[in-house]
Amino acid sequence: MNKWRRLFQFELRMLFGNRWLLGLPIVFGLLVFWNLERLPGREILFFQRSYTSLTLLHTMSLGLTMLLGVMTIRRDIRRTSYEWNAALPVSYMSRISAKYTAAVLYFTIFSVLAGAAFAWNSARMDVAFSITREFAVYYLLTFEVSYLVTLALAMLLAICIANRAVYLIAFCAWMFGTFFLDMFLLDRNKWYVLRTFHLNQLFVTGDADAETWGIRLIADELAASRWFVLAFALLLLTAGVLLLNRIRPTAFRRSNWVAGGLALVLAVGAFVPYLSIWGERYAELHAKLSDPGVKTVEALRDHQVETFQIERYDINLQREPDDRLKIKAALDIPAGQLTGRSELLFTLNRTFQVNRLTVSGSPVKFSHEGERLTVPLTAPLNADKTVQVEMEYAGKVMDYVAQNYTEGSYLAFVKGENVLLPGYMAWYPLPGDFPVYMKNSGGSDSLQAAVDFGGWHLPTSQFRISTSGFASKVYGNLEHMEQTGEGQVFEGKSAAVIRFYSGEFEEVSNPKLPVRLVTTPYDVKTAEKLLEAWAGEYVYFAGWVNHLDPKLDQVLMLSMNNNHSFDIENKTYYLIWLVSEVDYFADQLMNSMLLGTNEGEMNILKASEDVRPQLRALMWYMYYREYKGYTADDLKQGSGGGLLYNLFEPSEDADPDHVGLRMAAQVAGALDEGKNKQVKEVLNHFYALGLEIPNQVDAEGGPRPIPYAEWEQEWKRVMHDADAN
Amino acid sequence: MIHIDHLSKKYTRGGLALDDVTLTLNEGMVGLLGPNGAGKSSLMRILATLTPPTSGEATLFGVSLRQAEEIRRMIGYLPQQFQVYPQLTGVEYLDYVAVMKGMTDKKKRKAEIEALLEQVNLQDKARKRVQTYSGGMKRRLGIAQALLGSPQVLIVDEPTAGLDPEERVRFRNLLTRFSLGRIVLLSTHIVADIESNCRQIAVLDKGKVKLSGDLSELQEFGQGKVWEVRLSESQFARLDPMSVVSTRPTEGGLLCRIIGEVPLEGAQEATLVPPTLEDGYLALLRKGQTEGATRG
Repeated sequence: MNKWRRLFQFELRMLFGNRWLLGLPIVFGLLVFWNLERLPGREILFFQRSYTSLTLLHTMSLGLTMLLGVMTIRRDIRRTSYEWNAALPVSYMSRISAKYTAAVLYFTIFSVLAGAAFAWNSARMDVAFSITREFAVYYLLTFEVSYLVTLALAMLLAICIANRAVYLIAFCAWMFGTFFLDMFLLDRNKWYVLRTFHLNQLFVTGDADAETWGIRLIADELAASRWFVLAFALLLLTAGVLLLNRIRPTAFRRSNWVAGGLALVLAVGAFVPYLSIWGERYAELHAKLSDPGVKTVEALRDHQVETFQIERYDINLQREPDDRLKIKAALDIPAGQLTGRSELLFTLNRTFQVNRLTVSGSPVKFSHEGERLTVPLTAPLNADKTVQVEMEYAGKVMDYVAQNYTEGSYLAFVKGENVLLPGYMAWYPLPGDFPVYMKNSGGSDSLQAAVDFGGWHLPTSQFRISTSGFASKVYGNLEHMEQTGEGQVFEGKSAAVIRFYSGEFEEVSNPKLPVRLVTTPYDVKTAEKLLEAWAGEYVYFAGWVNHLDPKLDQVLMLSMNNNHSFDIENKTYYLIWLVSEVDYFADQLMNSMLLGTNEGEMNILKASEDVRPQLRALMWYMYYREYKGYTADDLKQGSGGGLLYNLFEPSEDADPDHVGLRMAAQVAGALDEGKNKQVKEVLNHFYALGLEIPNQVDAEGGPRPIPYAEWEQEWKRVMHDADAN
Repeated sequence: MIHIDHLSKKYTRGGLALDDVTLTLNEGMVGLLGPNGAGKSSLMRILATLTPPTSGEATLFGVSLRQAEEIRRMIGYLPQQFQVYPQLTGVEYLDYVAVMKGMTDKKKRKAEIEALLEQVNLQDKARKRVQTYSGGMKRRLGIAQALLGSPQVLIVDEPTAGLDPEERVRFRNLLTRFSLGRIVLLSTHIVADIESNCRQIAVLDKGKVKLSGDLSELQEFGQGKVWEVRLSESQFARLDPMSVVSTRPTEGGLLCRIIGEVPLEGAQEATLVPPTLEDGYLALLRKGQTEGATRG
């Protein structure tokens, strides 16, 4: 032990006695703190940006690890002029372990600095201590594990290659282990299972660089990966000692081989749990890919869904402690529409096993293949009544897809307090044969959610969904009615699929704004700024818009690497990314709140036949003139941004008569004459008619088109009255 | 006592470094003599347990080379090329080596280090960093580290390289003193290094043992083969340089000391002279070369 202690002290002195090496942690610390401090728009997407920043700095520092690992061996081992060392009665195991421990201690400073820099910035953002600690420890551990394996690899390389070429080889290993492994093996071939071999363990992203769920979702994989990496590092070190003992005679050759064998067994043993996680993911993925029922993008073009109305859903959604979902669903289906049908076709995700299914109280034989749940209609139907279908099903939801832009992600999951249950993944029975998954056109080796291909159109249903057993509050696109002792109850009408979300979220609000914003802890400050900017706009519009009818009352601002976005559903707006200043998003949200959806705008072929897009833009024109103080020329030059597009920049095809420009000129002239009140009166008139432009399919009973002539007529009426007075 | 029994060493890419070497080395100073590439360093590296032999066996005081860890506790080793961590002072370095050699008592360690530093004449530089040492000083520090712990066997490979004449004499005396009751195996290609101190010598050439015995046996090899001849400059120019041991200018020519079975043809005043140890060594090597050429 004396010898080992002295070796360790010696190695520490070699590292910490070198002023250059001593200075590097200081430089690294300054860089980390400075980088996190100067993140552009620091409070916007702080988590993602700090993750990227720390990842890059970590990759750079791994170059140093590689260099130092080689140098620590080349300092004396396998150098002819230091051969006297090998004649000393000291084992290579002692020498290598002392070198390794000292170097690890040196790099622990880097790990601690990274964790501390994050914790410091996190605390400054008023994020709860428990969350700050969770992520700071995550960075510290991840840095440390990367250093542990990189050092071991570098030392083994230096043991194997006695000449200076080892520096070049180590450089290549660093480049390959950080950049090329990522680009060529992981991304190109989608061999994400190999990501445990990535030297920079922060690149083990999935959705890890997104705060929303992120690392919590792959916690088991991270833990298994870390154990394997540690065992692998031990294997590399043992291999190094074994090689050195092959060069230098030892009486303990057999013990060395036994130790090597044990290290190998340990590494393989540690790889098994990691591999089993991936095995499970890939087994489910391949089952879907090899299912002929899962169509390709091309095949989906011809896929027609024959749907039917479900009048009422009554769903009991229960999460078990092991994340298993137990669901009871009662469906009221008007019988009139089913005349002539011998069966009902539902879409229900294959992950669920249906344990009981009754039609009007009688158990029936059903089939559940893929997502197709076929229920026979055996009893005669009474057209005036409803058919009641009840089913009980259960299953675990961890729906993995190997999507290369995120290094794999989950389409749906229930894991601890983290929940993503989008209706398009058919966690409850949907009426008709909806495609849930689709194979990509490039081949059958990748899968994605079919909803990406196009929107779904479902008949409106009345929902009542009670949830229980969830670890955190559940948010969704249905109105939250009550909090019960066991959970929550959501109720409302919806033509959209029902989505539920849960996780480490916080609610943010502003007293001037009738909206609840749900976001992640690191985006709270951004959310507050956003709400502040939005509240200013809201107060302005509420000041003159009669009967302002907010079209949204909830915003889910959950940043993540997921392209399954939507606009407004049942007064809920889903914001998955923030890249610009908050003012831009405040405009978008106010626009949605004031005017609702404009999804159907693409269906307006000629502007003069429906000037709702121009009227929506004029509402904002007023805002920019009155509230922001822009002149007519400023706005014509584009100062108003995208919301005024339909006035100043529509294509010649869409607005050949330049009605937008004419309407803007009319309003500009009136405002110049001080007829603000009259302009508002005109706009209020049309606002009361409805300026929402829903997709035509949903437009029955909704707002009607407003032709240009009607605008002219109302304009003249109000302005004439004004002139007359 | 060191017993070397049919020891051979073949390097993966090179030829045979040691070819069936059998030797018995007794206590005292043992000189291992041979030209460059003779296999001296290979033999020493094997005995220092730095590299395994390809075949054969050796024991040091009855301990087999296979018990490498045991052997390392018995030996001190100074390699031909020697470097020390430049950041350390001489004392720090020796203390580090002493701990590695298992000297746990701090006081004893300190006393031995001080004594050794004095013996190698480094006491004045002992607390200076090694990076300030000259080549000779580093060599002396190397000798000190090898002597630390009073090993039973001291293996020193070309130890006098880089030392000035005074240091060389001091060093030889140090080794001689140390060799009492121990074995000091000293390899060199400089005959003078072993002439005054070694009781026993072994001559290696091309991996084989050419001779093993005492100094007189080596010297005997030159008996009747060393001539002093007077040559003109033109005669000297035609002479095989390998046979000339030394030359001294005289009036009208050169007085050359040459090795050969017969005096040079045409030479004037050829006189058979008594051989020195170096003459014997050269005669032995020349014999080997001649035999090799004849066989070839």
